[in-house]
Amino acid sequence: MARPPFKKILIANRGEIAMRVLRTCREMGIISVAVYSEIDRPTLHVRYADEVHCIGPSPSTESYLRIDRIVEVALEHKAEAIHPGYGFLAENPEFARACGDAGIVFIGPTPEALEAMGDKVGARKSMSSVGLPIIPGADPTLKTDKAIISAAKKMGFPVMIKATAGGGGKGMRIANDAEAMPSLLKAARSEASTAFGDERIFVEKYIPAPRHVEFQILADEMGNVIHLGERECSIQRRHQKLIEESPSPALTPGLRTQMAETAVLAAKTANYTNAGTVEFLLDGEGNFYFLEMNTRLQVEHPVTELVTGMDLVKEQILIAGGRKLAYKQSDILHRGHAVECRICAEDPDNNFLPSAGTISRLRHPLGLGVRMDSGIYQGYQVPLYYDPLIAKLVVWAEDRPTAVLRMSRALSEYIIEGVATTIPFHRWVMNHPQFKKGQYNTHFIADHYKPEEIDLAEWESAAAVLCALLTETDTGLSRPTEQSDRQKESYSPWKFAARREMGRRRV
Amino acid sequence: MKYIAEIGEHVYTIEVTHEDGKPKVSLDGKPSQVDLCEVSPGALYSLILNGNSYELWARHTDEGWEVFGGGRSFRLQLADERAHRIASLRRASQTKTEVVEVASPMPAQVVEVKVSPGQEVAKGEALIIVEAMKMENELTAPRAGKVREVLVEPGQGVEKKQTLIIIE
Repeated sequence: MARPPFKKILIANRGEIAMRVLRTCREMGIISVAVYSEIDRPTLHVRYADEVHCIGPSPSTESYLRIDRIVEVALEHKAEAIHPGYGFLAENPEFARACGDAGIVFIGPTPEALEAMGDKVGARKSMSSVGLPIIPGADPTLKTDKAIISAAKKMGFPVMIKATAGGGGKGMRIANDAEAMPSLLKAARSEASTAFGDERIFVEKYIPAPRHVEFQILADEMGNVIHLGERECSIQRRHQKLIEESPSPALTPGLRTQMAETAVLAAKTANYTNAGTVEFLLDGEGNFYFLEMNTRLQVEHPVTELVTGMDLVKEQILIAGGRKLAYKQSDILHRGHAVECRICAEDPDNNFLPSAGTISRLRHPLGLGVRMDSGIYQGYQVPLYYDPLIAKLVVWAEDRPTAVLRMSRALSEYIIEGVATTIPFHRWVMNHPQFKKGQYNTHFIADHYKPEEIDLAEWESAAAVLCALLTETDTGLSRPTEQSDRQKESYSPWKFAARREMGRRRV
Repeated sequence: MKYIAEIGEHVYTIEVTHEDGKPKVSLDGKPSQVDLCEVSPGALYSLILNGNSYELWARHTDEGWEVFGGGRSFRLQLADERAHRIASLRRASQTKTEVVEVASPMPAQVVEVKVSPGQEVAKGEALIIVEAMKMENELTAPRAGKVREVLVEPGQGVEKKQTLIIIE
């Protein structure tokens, strides 16, 4: 184990990703400093960290997005480096710059790289100039609807409207013809404006039924760049990833090598340092296009960790500490298959609406090949202030079919009561014949997921029988402390009469 | 005793009888083998139904039963046959005037109202889009009907459980 490059690191995040970084810090013998918003006082990362400091009220704009407060806490408590996690300030060049100005190491790429890759349009232009394949698009500086629509006509429909400052699928719209364009442009601009404070949009050729395949990159400050293979992230809903796996069932060895080399070239072109991800769209004919580069640790990084056996957070910390990569490309070996399900507090039976509430009962799955990254616990109140992602269930097995079965098994053990979660949805995917065969693309959910068609009769029958038996024997209404008495009195005719009386009153 | 269980729109009939002090169950008319074990009093139950094992949590509240099993929560209304008949009759007589209120599931901002008063809507049809956590969420009609009232307009902030649209 390498000597840690820092004595103390501040983690500028919350929830499962704060826990993820805290765990590596502890393994490396690094003192951890957590920050939290008022509502997060009781949460797991606050209790786990060595040192903790409140940085403001619950809305993220007043806490986890406050660059000044976070840098101040780091300085005051002598943290030498800051890990931003993902989301919040992770890809914010101003934050990286503020850290640098304060003499604190930002664990991530340089502010310049963040800026260059944050500008999606500019990034594609520079990647295209070194020969990377990109999706044909209209001149992004076009402003008027008329100019944009005529460019779209030239390109041929369908086209995709995207936010220039975009990410996470926000502000994206697909237009099938010119007539639909004006209202879609308006909607995309409005969503981009609320999400990013920047209403600029651009239009590109829409690739029907593509797969989303991305490559994990590690780059040190000496210019060494390696890749850790790919992740397949095509199970998406409204461009939000829900399930990821590695390796991708769609890649042949030849195509994998070609895409990996392209990803490494992209990182070198961007003078990239630290961990990053190069995203590609892959069409049905094996053509791939550079989409964007994510300049952070990805939510789905655990699948790469499981197939390579590496700790990406540790590598990030070592790189940020100026260390040379300890691995050459030929040292990276891939073994087996990993699948990740994002468990979100959303109701899959009801249009994936966010679900707030208190987790009243929790039992994480366990057993061979199961990894849980989560920030939840019994009594956790799911706040509406932050991302609905509450846990990541990741499994590893020797091959894909076994990994899918293992995930299905783990999901069947998972109990989260009190808020609706996406667990039933994931169970449905794992049992879908197309998914089992690995034959799916980014339209899978829109094409196949019909919650109303899921047969619930078995569990509903069991629930109905249970309630009938409990009502009949009256156990369900007794106080838990009276167990022994209750069992004796199970068939008391007096209680029975009283229950029936209550039953009448209820109608 | 015969019970009627309602879970959403699904209805199950369960008849519980006793033989040698043990309960016997008939589910939708089919005699079924059953064994119930109370693992944690008033909370966790292990049910063996026709040889299949079900782990279920159940609690009784003022609004009926809440059962969790198979990764899902079920809200269940249980009534004996007679009580169920009375309830159904009452509901049938109310159907003509029954209204459904569509409420916001969270604090949010109204982005778009897709329907107007008087409009007929089908079950599952999009009524309104609200934005929360920077995501747009579509709220749909819980059943077919006519829009009686639209109580909000685009741009307006709404509270959790605030009624947005009334369908009759």
